[in-house]
This record gives sequence, C-alpha cells and structure tokens, in this order.
Amino acid sequence: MLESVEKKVEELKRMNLEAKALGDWQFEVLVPRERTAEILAYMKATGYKTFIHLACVDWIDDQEFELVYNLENYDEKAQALVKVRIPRNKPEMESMMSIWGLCQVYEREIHEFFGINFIGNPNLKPFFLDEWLDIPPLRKDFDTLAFSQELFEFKEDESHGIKAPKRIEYK
Amino acid sequence: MDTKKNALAPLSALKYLFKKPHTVRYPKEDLDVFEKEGVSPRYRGFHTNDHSKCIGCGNCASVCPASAITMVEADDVKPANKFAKTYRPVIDYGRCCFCGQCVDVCPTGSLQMSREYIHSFHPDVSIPPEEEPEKVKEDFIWRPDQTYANNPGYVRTPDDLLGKTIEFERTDPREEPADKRKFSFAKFVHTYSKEEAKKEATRCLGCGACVEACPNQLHIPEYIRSIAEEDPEDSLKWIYKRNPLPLVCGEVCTHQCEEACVVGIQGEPLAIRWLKAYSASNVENYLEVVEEKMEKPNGKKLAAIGAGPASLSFGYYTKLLGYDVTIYEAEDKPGGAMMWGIPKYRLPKEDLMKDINTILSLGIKLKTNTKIGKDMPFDKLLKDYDAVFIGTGNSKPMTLRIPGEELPGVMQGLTFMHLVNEEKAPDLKGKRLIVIGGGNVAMDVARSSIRLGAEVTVIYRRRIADMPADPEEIKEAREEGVEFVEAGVPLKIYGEKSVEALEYAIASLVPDPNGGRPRPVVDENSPHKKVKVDYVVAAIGQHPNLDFLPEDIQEKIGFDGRRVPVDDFGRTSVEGLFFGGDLSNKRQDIISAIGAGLRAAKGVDMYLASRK
Amino acid sequence: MELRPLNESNTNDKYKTYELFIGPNHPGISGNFSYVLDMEGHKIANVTADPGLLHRGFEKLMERRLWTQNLALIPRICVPEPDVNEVAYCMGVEHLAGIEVPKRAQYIRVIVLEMARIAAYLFSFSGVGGATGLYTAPNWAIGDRDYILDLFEWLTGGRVYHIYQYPGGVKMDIPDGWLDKLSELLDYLESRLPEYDNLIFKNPILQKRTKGVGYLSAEDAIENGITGPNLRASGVKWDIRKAQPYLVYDELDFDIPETGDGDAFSRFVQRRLEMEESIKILRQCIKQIPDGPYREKIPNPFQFRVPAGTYYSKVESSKGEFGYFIVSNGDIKPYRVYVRGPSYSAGLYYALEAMKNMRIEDVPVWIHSMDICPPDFDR
Repeated sequence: MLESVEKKVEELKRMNLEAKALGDWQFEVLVPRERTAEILAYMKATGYKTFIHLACVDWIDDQEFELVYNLENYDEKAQALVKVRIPRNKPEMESMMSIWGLCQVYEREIHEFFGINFIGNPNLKPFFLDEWLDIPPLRKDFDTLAFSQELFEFKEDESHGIKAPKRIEYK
Repeated sequence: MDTKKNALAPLSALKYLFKKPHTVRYPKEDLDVFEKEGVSPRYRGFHTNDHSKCIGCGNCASVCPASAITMVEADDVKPANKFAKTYRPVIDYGRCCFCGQCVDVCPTGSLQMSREYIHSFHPDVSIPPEEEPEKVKEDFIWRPDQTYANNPGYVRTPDDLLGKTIEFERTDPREEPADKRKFSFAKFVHTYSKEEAKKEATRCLGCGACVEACPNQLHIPEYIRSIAEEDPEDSLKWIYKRNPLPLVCGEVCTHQCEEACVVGIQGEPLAIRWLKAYSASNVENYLEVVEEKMEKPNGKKLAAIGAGPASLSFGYYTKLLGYDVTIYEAEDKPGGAMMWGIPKYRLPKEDLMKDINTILSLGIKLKTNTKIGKDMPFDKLLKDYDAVFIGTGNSKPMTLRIPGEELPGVMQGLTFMHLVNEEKAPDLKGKRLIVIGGGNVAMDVARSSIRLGAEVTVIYRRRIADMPADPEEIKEAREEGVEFVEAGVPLKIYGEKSVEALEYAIASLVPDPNGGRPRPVVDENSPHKKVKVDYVVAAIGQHPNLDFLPEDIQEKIGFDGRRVPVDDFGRTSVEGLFFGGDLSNKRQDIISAIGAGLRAAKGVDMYLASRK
Repeated sequence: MELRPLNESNTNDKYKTYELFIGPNHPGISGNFSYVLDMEGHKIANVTADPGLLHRGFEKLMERRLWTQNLALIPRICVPEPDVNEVAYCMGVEHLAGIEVPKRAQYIRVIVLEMARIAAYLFSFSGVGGATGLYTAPNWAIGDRDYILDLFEWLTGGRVYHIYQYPGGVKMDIPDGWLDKLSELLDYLESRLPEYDNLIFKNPILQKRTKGVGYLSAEDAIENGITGPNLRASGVKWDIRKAQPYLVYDELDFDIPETGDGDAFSRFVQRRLEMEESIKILRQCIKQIPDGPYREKIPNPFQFRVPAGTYYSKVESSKGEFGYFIVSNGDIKPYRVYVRGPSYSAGLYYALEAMKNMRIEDVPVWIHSMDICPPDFDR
C-alpha cells in the first residue's frame, strides 16, 4: 500500500469518517450527505484535483442510492472513492458543480438513469435516452426483459416449434 | 522526433506512385500470414456438433450471452449414453456473437467452431418479398452438425483448453487408509470441510442431468448451488423438499446422479452424495432450518407397516399434509434395512437416528415390537385406519439350494448383518469365511467380517465387472484384503457338526448375444475346487415376505412372490391399500424407497380427497 | 419583394445565428454522435452535445449476465481499442476474487494492450488525415493497422473484438511462430514511422491547420478530468503505466514522451512518439516473456462468484484512463459495473467550452486531436 494512501486514510479517520484502503493506490471513504461538499472541497484542496467519475449504485435492499465520487491525485499517485448514501424514496443530492464544473454532465446522466435530483444543477434535461417514459432504467427494479418484450415484436415461437427442456433460471 | 516544417517531405509519398499497389486481402490468400490459407486457425466461425457425442445437456444454451442457442428435440439422433437426452442446440446466427463460450462449457467437447463463415447475405431476388423472412430464417437459424467438421477453428484440444473452464478433477473427502480402517467399525469417509465442499460444489454446471437420473428427482443443482454459496441450511431446505433422510442418503445412496453427471463424461463426476452428507451433517436441528409448513390435522388416520425408508418418507409427507400417522415395526428399533442391513462403518447408527428422530418428532406414532399378523391382525388395521401403506421390503432371503445348506455355520447375508449390527456376531478371529454373491449385501458381509478378523473370500458366478455392487465398494473391499473368485458356482458344503469345506466349480462364461451380462455355464469339464472354510454366508438376494396379508388380498393385488405391481402413486387394486419401497420398486435402494413413500403420500392424499 | 440590406440582417439576432448539426453521420466526427453548433457565420457561438445514438445500455446488460458472459459484451464499448475493456474488467474481477494471474499471462496481456494501442494510434493518424483533408494518411494507416489485426486474428481468433481475456489469464497460449511474426511486424512499423513523419508531421499545411488550435493548459486539463496523451501533451507527466504500474509494466523500460505545447499539433505528436515507446515495450516483451501457465483455473461460468466488494480497476488506454468501477455482492453476476470512458469529460463537457469561438473547420481537427470516441461515453 502506498504511504500516501495510508496517511490519507488515517487523516480521514481522524475527521470521523469511515475510510479504508481498497488496493495499493486506492481507498474509499464514506461521507454523510450533509458533509459531502465540505469533504470534496477538502479533497480537492489536498491534491485530489482530478475528477474521474461520478457513479451511482442502487442498493435496493437497503432502500438507498450510493453516489461514488472518484477522485485522483497525480502528485501522490492515489485514488479516492468518496461514497455518499442517500435515501431511495427521496432521491435528492446537492450538485457539486461549484467544485468541479465537470459534475454537471455526470449529474445529468445520473438524473436520467437513476432519477436522482441534483439541487443546483441547471441542466438536468434528458441526455442519452430518447423520449423515455418508463422508470429510470438503471434502477434495480427496472426489468429489461419485460421492457424489451413489450417494445419489440418477439418471435412467438422461440423454440422453433418444439418444446425445449426446462432450465434452471439463474436469477 | 523532428517536426520541422518541410514542404518537400510530404512529396516523398510520391515514390509509391511507382510501386506495386498494395491490397489488404481478406481472407488471406498468401500462406505467409498464418501458414494456412483463409482465416486464422483459431477462427470462431460456424459451429459443428458431433451428434454421436452430444448429450443434449443444454449448457451451451445457458452460457450463451446473446441467447442465440435453443435446445430443440431431435428425432433423428440416438442418445449418446443411458442418461443422454436427444435435445440438440439450434443456433440463431442473427444473434450469435461468436464468442466461443458455448465451446468452452461443452462437457463432452462435441460442440466446436469451424473456420467457415459468411460475410454478407443476399437472398435470391426471385423470392417474393413476403417469403423472404422465412428464407432468411432458413439460412440463419440451423442446427449445427458435422458439415464443417473438416475445417476446424476454435476447438478444445486435450492439452490446451480441456478442463480450463470446467474443473474435471474431483475433490475427494478425507478417507482412512485401508490398513487402518479394516480394524474398526468407525466411519472411514470423513465429511467435507467447508472449503472442500465449496470447491467441489463449484464444479457443478447446473444442467440438471442428475435430476432425471435420480429415482426420486431431488433438487440437486439447487442444493449444490446453495453449498457453493456457503449456505448448507438453504441446501438442506432443497433436499427436504423430496427427501426426509438427507444424512442417510448422503452416506449410503447408490448415487445414480453421479453416473449421469455431465462432468463425468470427460472427467470425474461431482461427488453429489458427499455434498448432501456435508449439508446434512452441518445442520444441527433440521426442522428449525427446513421450516416446512404443516397443515392442520384433518382427523384422518393412516397406518404404515415397517419402519423402513419408504414408510418413514410416507409418514413424513403425509404428516405434513395433516394426517395422523402410525408406523408399525416388528423389531425393537425403527430403520429397517438401514438399521439392520447397513454396517456401521458406512452409516453410523447415530446419523441414522438423527434423521429418523427428526421425522418422528413431527408427531408420528411409532409402535415397535409389533408384528402385523402376529401381534395385531391385518384386518384390524384395514378397519381402524383410512388407508394402509405397506413398506416391509425384502425380508425373505433366497436360499442356495445346495447340499449342506442346513449345517450350522451357513448363514444368510441379512441375518449375518443383523447379528453384526446387534454386536452379536460369532467370533470370527482367524476364521475363514466365504461370501457367496456379488451385491452390496455381499460386500457389506465381506467387509464387516474383515473387521471382525476373518479371512474373507467372495465367490461370484460372473466376472467382477458384472457385480451389481458399487464399483467403489468392490475397490474398497479389495483394498481391505477381501479375496475375490470369479465365475465360481458353489456345489456342496461339507461338514459333520458344522461347516468344514465348500466345493465350487469354475464356470465358463457364455457371452450374451444381446449385450447383457454373460451367463455362467457349469458342465462336466468345469474344474472343481474344494476349500476349507469355517463359515459360509449366502448373500444372493431377498424376496418380499407378505405372509401377514390374507391370501385373498395377496391374490387381488397380483403379488407374484417378487414384486407388487403398483401405479405411479403406490396404488393397488385394493382400495386404501398402498405399497412402496423394495416391495414394488424396480431399483431396490433407499432413494427409490423414499421416492415411493413420497409418491404414495400423494396417492393417499388424492384417494382420501376423492372419497370425501 | 423587398430585399433587406445585408448589414441590417447582421444585427438581427434571429438571422445572425443558425443551428448546424455536425454528426451523427459526419466524416469529421468519430462515431455516431453529434454536436449541435450555434453558428455566427464561421464562428461557433454555442455548442450542445447530443449523445444517445449509440446508447446500448451496457451497464444494465452486464447486471443481467454472468461474470464471464460479460466478456463477450464489453469489448464493444470501445471499437478502436477493445482490449482495454477486457483487461480492465478482468483485472477488477481478479482483484475482488483474489486471483493471482500467472506471469506469462500478464506478459501476454501487455503485448495485447500495446498492440491495441499501436492500432488505435494508427487509427488516430487516419483521423488526423481525415480531419485535414490529407487522404493519403487514412489509406496508409488503416492498411498498416490491418497487419496488426492479422496478428490479433491469429492469436485470438477474432480481428476486432478478440474476446481473449478471461479472469485468471488469457484464453489461449501464444501460437508457435507468432512472436517471430510480431517482431517482423514491429520492424516494418518502425520503418514506416519516418514515412508518416514526412507525410503528416512535417507537412506545412497540416502544421498550419493544427498548431495553436484547441490550446489546453495543464490546469484546465486537470480540472476537466482529461487524461492520457491529451493530458501529457499539456505537460502533465502522468501515465498510469508508470505511476501505478499494473500487470508487468514495472519490469519494462520505457519513457513518457514530452511535448507539452497543449495544442492539437502537440497532441498528435504525442501519440506519434508514444507509438515508438509501445514498439519498444513490445520488443522487450518478446525478449522477456517467461514460459509457464497462461491461465489460472477459476470455477466454471455458472458457479464463478466474486466475493462482495467494490474496486475501481483502470488501464492506460490510447485515449486516457479507462476504468471499470465494479461492485459485487458475492453473486454469480455483477451487482453494478460503471464504465469510465476516457472521452467522457472531453467529449461531453470540455468540448462545450473549448469549441466556443472556434471556426467551423477546426472542429474535426479538435475532435480528432482529443481522440474522442463516442462509444466509450455513450455506452
């Protein structure tokens, strides 16, 4: 493990945050929603200047969305995954555009795919999808199979006229 | 790198004006590229499928990321082996992405890829547009066969790809060595550790070929998957859906499933039996885990005769349906053949009692030391109960029918095992014992006698390969020092007060023209042998004993002395009388008996529901 | 009809600006993607990115497939350089599952990655030519790239999408004689480099078209999440292969070329110089590759479970940092996979800033100099 990563993890722990290393040059830190802007600004000020991506994970069993801000520090050769959990029934998050302008497009994408509302982002118009009326598609409760069966004309006779053996469905 | 501006530099390209035009051709015509004309030797083109090897397991269809493969029943192919199906993959080349994963997971290696392909497709212009989709379907959806087999591309070769995706090597449980185990009746095959069980379970492909081979169709892929997920409790839940004796079957099942296992075609089959033993022995209290819902008592009374696997299974599933069940047992302990026939080194009695006690704890009444016909008349049962299930099994041993059979020292296999299990066997230390027969009972007798200190010889009338006993049992018996005599037909037992010698002939084996087992023939030319012996145990099979049934009922149900004919649900022509287990099964093993009990439970439920 | 004087129409906003769609089928754009430009004469007043024409929902599809089934799917995320997807995904899965990859497999992966990098750089040479009207360059570059594809076909059985990596190593070993062919090919490519220099990089017209266009400062590059050769061309010495070495890059000797002017021309030159380094790496690999197994055994696809956890695995691709953010919940399928395409920030965000006030003819030059590949953000 890199020394810089170890140091940073210790430092974040002292700030009352849960942090742990994930690999040699990578660590994650769990941040409460209200401290996100503060921590991200702090990270940027301490060398984590490059914004790599913002990803979202739908933890449907916990009824939570997890936003993952991925930051990179070129000087210390370290990478940080800043994770924020927000409730699924009230998907709202502050926009981080003031810290990285780049967040604008990532937030727009996540708004489209997960339906999270980013407060302060002026442009959350549809982005990748065309005339989408269903629930946001990357949510876990969106059924791709049912969607495509409805959208496309399916071959009625999938088995070419003869019944195939029943298989175990890996769900 | 010099990036100085130079107006003349680009003009250097002009020299190509005078060179031969260079064309990139595809497929390659020059042998310089891969020393083979056309496309790469590893090209993933159209599939080939060897129908004589394909077993129709459908793993290719399950692994296909594009759902391009459908298994379709073929009427023009022969099944490759006893358990094979005649389903064959039909591939939709409009969906196929030619990734080759179907080839990787094919357990037989029959599915391969060739170097044949088409770049584009133009239907004939003369075809009317409305017929075009049909024509396209013909060209793009077809069943691979050996058409392109002479041009192989991405194939699995033994030294390269075989066994890389599928693990062909079995993880064996720890076992005591032969020289140690032959002095002890303790169980010598240890159950898997958590890591071993997980490693073995992750070899499963989940195709379900084993389910059809199992006489009781257990949910095998499901319970193996739960073990792979390190969840033995969920695994037990799956087992209990069709088998209330998990530990017994985990230790002594005849494992037809393993013979059908597709991994076994090119490698070693999964140790399905040991996996079941793993999940059963890792759960302390079955009922807490299984959480089977019990129906409210419906007030109807059922009786089962003989507390063997069939009756126990019948009792368990009818009790769940809300019936009041009473099991009558002639001996002082339940279990039947499992208790008295199977030696302790294979099935420890505490393991058996764990399973049986779980079943009885549901509230099933057990009346031991009650022999029907002697302690209680059969007619009373028919009168007192709404339905009667008979699962008394085979208890009448077949006799050798040779002179000297009545001498002391000549025993029947089951009687001998009963004595061994009661720990009342005669002192065999240093004695010579001959076992006649080649079934599992003969092996049990031989191996138990070895443990009691005897010198044991097994005489069988055919070859060792023809023995009905499990090959494992024979192998282990040999390791423990049991001698085998092939093609031996016993002729006479000598002795005055007790057995002293046995004379047998070495028969000549006449091959069966139909491919079955050879027939032993003894004539005057056959060499005779006479050996000194102290004990002779005949383990040549058993017959049912239904003497307790009134003769009119015996006649009515069509009992022929060997088998009771029943339908799928254990029903006979006598209303309210159900049969199961070895009495009516083709295969005479525990798992078939459990299956018969389960089916009879359904049968009883249907019968009583219709009578209402 | 009354004709309006020209100067009057110029002052009227309604007629002064007009919308111009560049893409989705435009030779200046790489891939099915479009920018909507608000034009004022020759000048661009405002830019809107319009992705979605390539959207196939890979991230959702991956959640529905087994871990190894995904390997047939993900190469399609980046067309010019599909191997980075396979390697990055496999590296992430291996990290989570704790699989040790044999040394030989790691070398084979480096060889595959560097060959793919050269192929992608040749592709970008053709982009330079296409964007500036120098059509000899595409013909040459695509022709030379085909020799690399031939070797890929021999090694993997596929020309473009190789489906060659597997968690634990690679699917097949290197065939006999393949490494000799590779070394011959490297000799050939090296002999071609001066010709490319003469044709493209010394060309005064091309230099005039590209020098000073799309200047990107080091600070802006970092702020806007721009990675790879584009970042290095702005003077930031950051290469994942050097900084956080994966596979066996720490055993190989190579440099990070420096150009540092930050304009389109220096970005082109950066790629050209890195191609030389890739050839150097390949030559070392051919010499150093050890014997031994090429694949570690893993459970079969139906039973391959990856322990619960998250990991971000990344690879230095020809376009920048290509990352896979993998979340597993211990099942036979991934819980979530997020693909970080290197063109995302430049193509969807920085472009809107950079292209403002640019002249229309510089747009293709800028797009190709940033090597924007729409499939990796519109996935």
